[in-house]
Amino acid sequence: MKRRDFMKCAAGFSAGLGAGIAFSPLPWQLLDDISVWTQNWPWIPANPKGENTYELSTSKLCPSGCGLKVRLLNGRVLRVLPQAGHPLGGGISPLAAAEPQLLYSPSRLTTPLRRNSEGSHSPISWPEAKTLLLGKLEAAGEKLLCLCGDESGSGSAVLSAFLRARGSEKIFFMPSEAQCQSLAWQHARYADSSLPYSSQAGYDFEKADLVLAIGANIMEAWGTVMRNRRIVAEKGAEKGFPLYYAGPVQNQTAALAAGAGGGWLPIRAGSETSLALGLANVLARTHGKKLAHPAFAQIEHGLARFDPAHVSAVTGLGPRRLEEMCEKLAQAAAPLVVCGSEFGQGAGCGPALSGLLLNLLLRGPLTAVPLHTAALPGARGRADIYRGDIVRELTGWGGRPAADLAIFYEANPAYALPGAAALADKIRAIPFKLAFAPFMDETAALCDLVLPTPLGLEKLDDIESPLGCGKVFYALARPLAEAPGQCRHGADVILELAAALDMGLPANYEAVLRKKAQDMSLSWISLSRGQSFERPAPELEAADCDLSVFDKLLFRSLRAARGASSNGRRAGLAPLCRNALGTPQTGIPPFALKTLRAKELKGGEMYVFANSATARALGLYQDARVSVRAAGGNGNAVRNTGGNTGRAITARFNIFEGIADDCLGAYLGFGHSALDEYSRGKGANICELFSPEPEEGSGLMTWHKTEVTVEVVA
Amino acid sequence: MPRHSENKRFRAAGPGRQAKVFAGFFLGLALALCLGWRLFPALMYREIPQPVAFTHASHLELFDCADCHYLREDGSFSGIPGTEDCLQCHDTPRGDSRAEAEYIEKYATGEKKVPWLVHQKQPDNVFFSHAAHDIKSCQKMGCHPEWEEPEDLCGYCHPSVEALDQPAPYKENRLTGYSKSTMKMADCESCHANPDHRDLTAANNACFTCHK
Repeated sequence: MKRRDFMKCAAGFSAGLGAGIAFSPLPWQLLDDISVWTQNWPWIPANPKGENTYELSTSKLCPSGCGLKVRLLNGRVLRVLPQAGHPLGGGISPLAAAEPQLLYSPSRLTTPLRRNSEGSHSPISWPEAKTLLLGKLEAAGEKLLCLCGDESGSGSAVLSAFLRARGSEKIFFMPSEAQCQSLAWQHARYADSSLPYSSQAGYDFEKADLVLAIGANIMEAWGTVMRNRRIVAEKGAEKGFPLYYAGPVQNQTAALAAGAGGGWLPIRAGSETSLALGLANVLARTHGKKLAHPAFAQIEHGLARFDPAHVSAVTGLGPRRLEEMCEKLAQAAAPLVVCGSEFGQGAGCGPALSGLLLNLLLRGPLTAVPLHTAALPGARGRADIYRGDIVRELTGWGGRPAADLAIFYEANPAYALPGAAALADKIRAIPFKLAFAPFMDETAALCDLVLPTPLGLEKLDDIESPLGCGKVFYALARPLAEAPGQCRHGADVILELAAALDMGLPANYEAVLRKKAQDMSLSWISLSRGQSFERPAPELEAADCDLSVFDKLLFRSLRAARGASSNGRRAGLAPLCRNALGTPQTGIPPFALKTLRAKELKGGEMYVFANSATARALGLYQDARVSVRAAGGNGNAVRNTGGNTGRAITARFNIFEGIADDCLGAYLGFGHSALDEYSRGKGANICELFSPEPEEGSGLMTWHKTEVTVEVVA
Repeated sequence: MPRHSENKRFRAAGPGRQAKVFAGFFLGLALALCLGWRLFPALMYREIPQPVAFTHASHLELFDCADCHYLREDGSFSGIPGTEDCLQCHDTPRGDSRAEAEYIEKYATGEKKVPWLVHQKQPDNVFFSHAAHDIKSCQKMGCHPEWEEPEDLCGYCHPSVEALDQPAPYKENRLTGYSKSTMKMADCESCHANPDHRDLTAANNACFTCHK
């Protein structure tokens, strides 16, 4: 073969080779495989492989106390799923679903921090922190104050025992709906205030054949949300369930009520009590729902004012719809009324008492749920602690703080108290402040010593009968993940300090919980495996109540209170609470940010909303940038909170027809100035707008009738 | 005169020389096709035997597919039966085969999980639910009248194993580490992006349908 022939043959061979390869899978599959291979390079993050295991627990973070089935991979918590058969379960709340994500947040506090003279915090060791604290405790003597953010656990009992041993009774919970309900219950149940308070109202949804929620957002953020949802879904699986919601905003409860076979009754913000009493009046007069008790004549006299025309003027709900609702309540065999604040705080005793009156008239399935206090020397039960009011305490201080040392136990008052900035100034003035916190929240940022605490899935703690549950409930939150760094349970730290001060308290928190379980005759082994316990609670009878409370407390408070109707350019503030927006201590979980719509939060700006009629009356238009200003209180308003008139937030405006007339809706949970990038600088904190006023009779501070003025700004 | 000289050169090549070019071309083509279609796949995958010589054929004489592979009440798919399921029959040796003895010794005795190599295992970034791929929904639409039994739909993705006396060898891609039978996105899209399915099924082709 000549060279030229060879070259030609080789050229043909190469061309054939090229064509053959092009018509074979080789180049295409190789390209595909290479692209997949690059995705699996060892330094590229990938899901770890291993054995999935599942553990049972109960959510400590979510106030609904929903049951968790925690999925772990090689011992690492990955996900939480609903726990079938859990008394408070039936699903998983958005907050509980976000728990695993919060565990691994880079913003977690991992070491004790001491505030230096420049205002920033520097790490110190636990022995240094303990020495510092013991010194400050000695110096403070009995001038101690404690604010507890955990209502359902025994941490408050430990703190109260510690404070009492130091000579202080100043322990408080963060303001909550549970406090309002508890105080109302105590006034109604215990005429003799010297008796130990040891029960709470239980709402037995299981027995109800109709549920009317007035204000209380029972399917989203009020009480045992997941249990409520499950029961309504189960009962209404075939024919629907008559669930009705009366409140200013068409929230999830209103939406589910419409879907379940009930409906939404739009009423003005803060008018829940008037509606409940209007219903009670019609039920008593027209439907013969009365109580066979001498005190009922006085109650009827008090109710007389709440005729349909008056109630319609206050609530904005037509008299016909009021009467229709009464008709349905009267016809039901076991109707249950849940009346409370639509945003879970600041409503005082009025709504809870009016709800109690309605349930007594209708013989609704209310129960008296006994509460157990951890057997510690000097410990106070949670119902007893509710008698104190942190807002009243702080606003009552003059120029100087009444405490030299304050302990903030998983509480963030600098963000979440009404008129937050003004009360944060009061907190700032306390000489030494200690925070037990998992994240650097607004309160921790003010504190002189910050001690890192574990989150719900990292610690052993207990959950006893959360707000709203109709039976006695007890379960443990189990430590399924290791807490990062040097996190320690706050109750253990307090008990360690108590041991150093020879107070005679148990050595650790587990011993406290074991003793409580033993006192309740519950198996510790079952509890520590994640099993929860539920026991029936006795039904409430009218004879169990002091019926004079309605005249002494309820009607008196209403005679003194103002209405919540718009006046000129004013609107009633209708705050909306969403479980997904986290807690004041955790901020907004990153998962939850994805669930926010463009008309709720856009960039750093939040939206406030009103219906088109209110928008016209206030001169507002879609997407306008508005300034919302607290309109201030009436003559009863507390003036020493730092001036609750004139505070303002800026937001965008959205027209939303799912809100009652004369109301301006806004979400709670935005406007953090601390915490992480997912919470900080997003929207505004509407707690700033709340104007606390003392409720006549109970003395509890209330802010559910806050009025605001709204103006378009450039 | 470039045109004249080119014609001259072409004529000079002659039929003999052209044949050499074509011969070289076809030789190269045949070699490449052989390499691309036969040798390359054989080199690209290595065969790994399954840990247990399980026979579908003999088990199907006693059971239906759904006795072992079923949707649980919560909608999740049972997948491959666990050792505890197999122990219901194999707690003691059944027969005297070597494979049975090995299974009893290695797995049944200590109730150890059999490390099956799953042919259709999806990558981590893919979420697949068997519950969502239910034959009842296909039958409701009437698009595939030929699918009568659940196995007909199963066979759309999984190769038929009912006649196999030995487990099909697992073929692992040397480069990616995935099984040769792992479905690719194009396989999913044959239904999810099929215009004939639009508005008839809930098969959504949005990214988040499969990539959570």
